[in-house]
Amino acid sequence: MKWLISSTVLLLLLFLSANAQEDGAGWLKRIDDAERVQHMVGEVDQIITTSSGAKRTLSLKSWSAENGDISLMAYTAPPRVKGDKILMREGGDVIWYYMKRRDVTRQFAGHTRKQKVMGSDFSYEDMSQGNMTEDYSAELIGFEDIESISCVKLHLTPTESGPSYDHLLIWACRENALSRKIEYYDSDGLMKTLVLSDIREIEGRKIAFKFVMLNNREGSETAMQYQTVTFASEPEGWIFTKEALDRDVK
Amino acid sequence: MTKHNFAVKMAKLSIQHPWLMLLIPGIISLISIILASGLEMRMNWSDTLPPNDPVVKSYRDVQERFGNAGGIVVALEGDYERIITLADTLEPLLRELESMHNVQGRMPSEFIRQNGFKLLKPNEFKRMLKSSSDPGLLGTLRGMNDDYEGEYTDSESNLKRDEVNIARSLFGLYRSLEILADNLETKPNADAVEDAVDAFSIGEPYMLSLDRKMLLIVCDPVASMLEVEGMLESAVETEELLSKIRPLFANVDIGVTGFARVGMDEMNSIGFYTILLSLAALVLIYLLLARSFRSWALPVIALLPLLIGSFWTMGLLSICFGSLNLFTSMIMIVLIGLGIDFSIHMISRFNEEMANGKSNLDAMIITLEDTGMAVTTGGLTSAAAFLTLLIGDTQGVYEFGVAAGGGVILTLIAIFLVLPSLLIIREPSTIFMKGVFRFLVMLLTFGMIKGKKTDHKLGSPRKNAMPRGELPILGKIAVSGWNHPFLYLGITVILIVFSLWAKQHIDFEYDFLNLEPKGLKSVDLQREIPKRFGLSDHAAWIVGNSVEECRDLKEKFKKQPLVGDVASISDYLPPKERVNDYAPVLKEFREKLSDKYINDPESITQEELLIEVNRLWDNLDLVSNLAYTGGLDRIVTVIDGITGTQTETGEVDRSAILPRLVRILKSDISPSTLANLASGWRKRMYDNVYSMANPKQIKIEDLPETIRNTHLPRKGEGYLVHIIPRQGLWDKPELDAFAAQTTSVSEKVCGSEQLILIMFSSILSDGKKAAFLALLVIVLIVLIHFRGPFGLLALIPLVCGALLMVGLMYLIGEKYNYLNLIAVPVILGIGIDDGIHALHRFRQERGKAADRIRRSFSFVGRAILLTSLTTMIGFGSIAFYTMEGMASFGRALFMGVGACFVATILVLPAVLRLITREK
Repeated sequence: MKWLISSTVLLLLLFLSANAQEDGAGWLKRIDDAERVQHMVGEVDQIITTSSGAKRTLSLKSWSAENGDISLMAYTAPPRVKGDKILMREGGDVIWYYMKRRDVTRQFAGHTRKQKVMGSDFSYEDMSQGNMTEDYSAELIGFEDIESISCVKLHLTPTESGPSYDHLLIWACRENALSRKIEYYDSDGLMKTLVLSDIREIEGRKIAFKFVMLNNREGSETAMQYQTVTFASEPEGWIFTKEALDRDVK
Repeated sequence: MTKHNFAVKMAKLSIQHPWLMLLIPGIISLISIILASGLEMRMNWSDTLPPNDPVVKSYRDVQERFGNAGGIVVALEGDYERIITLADTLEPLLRELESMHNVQGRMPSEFIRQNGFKLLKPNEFKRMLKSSSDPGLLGTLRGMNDDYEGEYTDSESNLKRDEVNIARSLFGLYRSLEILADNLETKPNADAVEDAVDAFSIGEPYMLSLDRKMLLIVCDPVASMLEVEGMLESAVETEELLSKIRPLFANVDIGVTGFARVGMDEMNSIGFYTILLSLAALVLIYLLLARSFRSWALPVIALLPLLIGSFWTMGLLSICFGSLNLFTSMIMIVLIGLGIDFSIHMISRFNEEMANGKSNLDAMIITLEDTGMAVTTGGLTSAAAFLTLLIGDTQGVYEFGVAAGGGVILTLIAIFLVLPSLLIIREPSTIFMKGVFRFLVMLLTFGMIKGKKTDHKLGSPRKNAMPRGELPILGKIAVSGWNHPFLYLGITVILIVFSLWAKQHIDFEYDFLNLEPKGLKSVDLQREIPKRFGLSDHAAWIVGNSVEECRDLKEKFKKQPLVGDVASISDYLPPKERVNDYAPVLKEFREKLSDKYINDPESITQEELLIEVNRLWDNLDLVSNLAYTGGLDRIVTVIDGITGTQTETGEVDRSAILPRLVRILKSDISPSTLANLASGWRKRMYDNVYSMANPKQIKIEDLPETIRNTHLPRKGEGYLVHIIPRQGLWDKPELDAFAAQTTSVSEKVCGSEQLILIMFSSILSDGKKAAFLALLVIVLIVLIHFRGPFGLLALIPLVCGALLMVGLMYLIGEKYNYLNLIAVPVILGIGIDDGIHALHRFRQERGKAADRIRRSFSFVGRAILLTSLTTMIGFGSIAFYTMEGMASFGRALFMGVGACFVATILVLPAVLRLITREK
């Protein structure tokens, strides 16, 4: 009889565990489906508040294509960085930086993926969209409210080819599967917290217009606010080449 | 003894033995003046901190063991070449000053040249060996470019990690490129090329502002902050030296700041101008009283006991503390402001009774028994309110409590002893004085009391009655309040609600520089230095018990975002194991360097050099953009100076050094010029790099004297670590963040940032506790004095006035600071008098209620108006002090005293109407 009870409990636990894994993966796919776009063009204001309290406001235009595998950012303000561009290919594995003032193009080394993009609190790997279901394995933690919105909470562990973080905790809206908050951890603990808000519907898709990344270690913060977004037409392929970096893109 | 008996005895003593009544206080005053002459002026706010706070204890411990680090900072401003020349002249002279313990100007370049590579951490060490492997001009630039591309052009976190070192090396690069450009344009100068190499390999030797137009020499006086006189002497000695130097360097502006210098300027700011203001206030008070009493002598009589009380108080402070602080330095004005009330009430009553035809004995008995009682109650209430400050942890508040509480009691005693005698002596009928005593009295009263013999007999009424001390308009105003209580109280409620709201919305002034005297160069420099250097000019400190502990602390502090730099003795004493590990590598490096130098002669072309210089420009620009977005302003400003990039617009100034060098390299340069330059560079760079690769261990005795003096104690043990904020910290969130970040590493850290927070929190806490206790004591005293709850009405003008004071502070844009917060207990002490006197007189009057109001407020209202005006003049004079903190204290009390008076005349009658329900 004891054997029967133990076996039943064990089987039940195994079933629940497997179900949790399945639910985690399922939720992650839903998030990926909701957030991943084939191509996009947007204009963004970026406000960087450094740990010493200094503020820098930058404006940029961004293009992405091939499900986010390639992307280009061109700074439009302030004058100091106007015309500088960052090209990311292969999901952020290849990064080129073009500096208009010196008309010089540099390829950044592989380790740069983990570095901050132009002093912001977003790293290059945060900015590259990637495929979440390929980059992470997910485990369902439970359900929690974030600012009165019922969210699913997942524990994401990067796959071998995934980002450099130890793990992520992600809260996504149960209704539309859009991420509302992400915590980034390394082996020492919480590194950064991303809060997504200002959800709007553009061309039939829901998208967060505001991203605030708080660096929990350094006390700095970067807020990115989309001014315009469109998914209507795919950007031309030539703009995502190193050779095109010194050319104007409309 | 009943109060009547006491009054009779005092009146008789004053009439029968006035000389005795004046002689005893005179002798005590003389002793007090002698004692007071030894009082030290400790005008630094840090002297007022709670002595038992652990951070304050640490701070004092650092001061005692290590002295006053950065007590004097000399700032030289002008063209780069000129300030360097002046610094080379000035630094040795400053070292020779007897009052100076240490002078940090030129960095110990020779020590760096002999030991540079060992001081690097393993990663930096490897990079340095790699980038220094070719000592030629081209090799050096290539090495630097490779290093920048590998480490900095794509990594903001690496930039942040090495920010201080990068900024320092960039200054060296700046200087080096300037010399290179000069040498390529003109004939090479071998000495200059050596300077260029030294600047490149060792860095800029002086502490320069980011625009290279200001240079700092930091001096540590022998005296610590705890030894005020010695510290001030060092500031004076420095100024004497600088006054001799200034004419020789007309194009350089020499400024001085630091704790010692600011302390000296603070003292001077409380000097002549303050005395002038106090005299002006005294003259105004005198004229007001003279006009009011219609007598030139009475104001002197009113003020003389107050001066005596003030001298006694100074004597008391000398015995208790031996010094005056920022708070107690204002005590004379506070006491005169308070004490004049006592005098005026007594004199007014005496005059009134004399005018009513009473004999001087009877007038004096009534004055002492009746008004004297109210004055005593008012005085004791004030004293009790001040004495509640003794519960304060803050030293400044505690000392102010002793000074104000003790001072009021002493002033009260002085008034009771001296004033009756002076009033009697003044009466032409009573006293015959002769000899020295008469001369003294005449002298003290400027001849207004002559003490001539008359035929007037003791106790007989005066023939020519004095004017009655009445101001009917005040009586009418009070009656108006009585007649329309709801109107007056309605307006009062609105104002009080506003004031309560304002109380919560007044900001705190955490920027202590805003409290300093305006227009002082030393204060302006304190604000300017952090902006121009990208670092604060002062540090927080922690004492490490060993070099290794200091090394560990440095690494931890460096990680804190608001920490701009950390200076530790471990910077110059690498771990033995590390040097042992480096030794074989360094030996091998030296051998390879020698081989390369001997076997691989320099060959350089203009084109190759241009490529490397352009590459350097690209790299620097990339780094500056990254630093710009990351807020690493020190790096941005220095690089932008080199590349000529306008920081905000991105436009390039073509006259800057890199564009100029590129222009030169694109022009025709004679091959011999280039060859000579290259050869001179290579030789000196080889020498420098070879020396820097010295593998020998460093002992503490090998360190230059300046470094030892900066980090080693003058007495006791330990090593001082200096934690320098990234910027000037001027508001609470910044102060809190810096304090939180540094204390997260160690609780033992101390510095002015923490002290400012402690100051505010302790004064606020002390103030709240004391105010509560003071109100309690005041309530008890008025309950006893008025023998019942009727006395609570005396609190109405006080509460309304104090709240309105806060409302007015909000309206004029005042912020709370550690000095004007003291105005709260002071107004509690001063404001209560008005209510007590008004109520006391109201109760004495007889007849219809409205008539009682009119009469009592006509008489006592006049005295209250007079006392309020004199007190307001006193505090108003403080409002014009150059020291903003003190001025805000004066402004607050000026408004507070005025508000209490208005509340007494307008609000109290309205409340009396509602309470008494009489018509």
